[in-house]
Amino acid sequence: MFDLDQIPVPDLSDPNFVPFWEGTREHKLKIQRCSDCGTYRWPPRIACRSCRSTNVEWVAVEPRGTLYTYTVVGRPTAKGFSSVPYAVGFVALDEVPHVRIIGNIVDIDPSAVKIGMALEGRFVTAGPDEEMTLIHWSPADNGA
Amino acid sequence: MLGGKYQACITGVGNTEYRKKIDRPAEVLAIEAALAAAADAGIDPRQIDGIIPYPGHIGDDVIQAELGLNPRFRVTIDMGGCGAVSALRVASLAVLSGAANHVLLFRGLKGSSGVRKADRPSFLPGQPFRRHLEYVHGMNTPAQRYAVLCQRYKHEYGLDRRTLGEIALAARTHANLNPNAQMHGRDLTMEDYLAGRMIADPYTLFDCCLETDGASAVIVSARNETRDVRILSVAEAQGISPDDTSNRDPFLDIGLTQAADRVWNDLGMGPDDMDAAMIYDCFTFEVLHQIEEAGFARHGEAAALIADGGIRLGGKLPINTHGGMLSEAHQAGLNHVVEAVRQLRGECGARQVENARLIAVTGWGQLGDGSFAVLGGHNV
Repeated sequence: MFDLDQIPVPDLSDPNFVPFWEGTREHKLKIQRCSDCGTYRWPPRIACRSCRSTNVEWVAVEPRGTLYTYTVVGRPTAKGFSSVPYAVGFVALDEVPHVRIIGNIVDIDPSAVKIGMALEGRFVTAGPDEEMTLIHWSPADNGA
Repeated sequence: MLGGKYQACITGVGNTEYRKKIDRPAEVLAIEAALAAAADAGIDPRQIDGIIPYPGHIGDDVIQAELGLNPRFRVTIDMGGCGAVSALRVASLAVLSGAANHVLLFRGLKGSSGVRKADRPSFLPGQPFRRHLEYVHGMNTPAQRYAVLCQRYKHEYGLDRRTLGEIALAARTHANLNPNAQMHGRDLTMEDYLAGRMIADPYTLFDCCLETDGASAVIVSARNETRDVRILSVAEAQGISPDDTSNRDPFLDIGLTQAADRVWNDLGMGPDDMDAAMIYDCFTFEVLHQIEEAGFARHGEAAALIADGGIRLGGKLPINTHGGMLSEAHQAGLNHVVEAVRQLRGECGARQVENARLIAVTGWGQLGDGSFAVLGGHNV
């Protein structure tokens, strides 16, 4: 449904995102945690909002969560997404509920997507040379 | 402190026609609007000694050179659609401090016949987040970014599509009383609304603002004559994370929440004192959202105000009597300021709010930056 080879590849050498993209390549979802106060943070930032520390570690979390909010796109606007409708939403992680990951909801008719549904991540290579691995989210009880 | 004894005033407003396609360049339109505002203020354009343009569009250099101005004060405000009302604040500070006497705010846009929104450069904050987190998942327009706010609201409080429809219909009804509105003369029924094609669920065609060719201008001055409209108080603020909406908590927090609070406290006034409100209506839900965040209704209760003509002329709180960005024109909120001024001067004819004395104006930009002003006529 997506033109995976046409999705624009961001700068994978951006130091703030390198551990994330290295993680997805290994089929892991890695997010930031403050090395000093232990606060999880997302999207990746330089400093901790709770204690201002810039010491950070990247930790793997289970790619499972519930859908916090979403939209179904009905008019194509983005490169790599010429086919509509498709769903994109924010997934609240089971392990760290205050962290929400943006992603496409797949393996389901977009009209059946609902806030609160349980989802699990699937790792999908994309980009003209398959240079990045994206996380798509499927209903958790659908082939889990 | 912008209230009290020391007040800046809006002394002139101007605009071009608003249409889908105008052949003249945006610069020409901006100059027309600026000259109209100067004439409206009763000043020679060369008296304009301050400029606040709209960043990413026509620069102050063009207007300065074309009009032969020699500004003492120039600044840009990088807050997208929040910038029009934020500019009222900066212009007020400039004229009250003596940094300038007459500050020009303007918009000159080819929003309809120019490059499509999704293909224009993005001026949003947090560009790496856009590229690493959003574009790779097909999220790249304001409709999509704000639709997720609406979906969450709907989940938490419940929301009937007809409530959003009434926001669109009220705007169109007002535009039909405004001969210069882009959608003047084009009726919109609830059936039309409900049949609109899907843009980004729940936003369909009629939930989305217009794209417009046209220009508008406002002059803020160190002058306080009977016809001038007073900027009684104005504030701005950002959401908790101005560069990201996905991890904001509370999720529906926006800059307006704090900005409106500051203005109400500053003035010792409240939502019930307002005769009308001009609310930045990029999408229908953002009107409802801002009604609540500015305090015109409690969280989850805006639908009751919107029902039964509450936001139409003659209702409890007439909103966007010009038709707003949904039905008058997209001027990134500056047309909301222009309308408030004309209402307070009693110049709005068929769409005049009776005895309009106090009008609230909101700005919304970027990922929920907010600004809020209360303007007052001299009959307050």
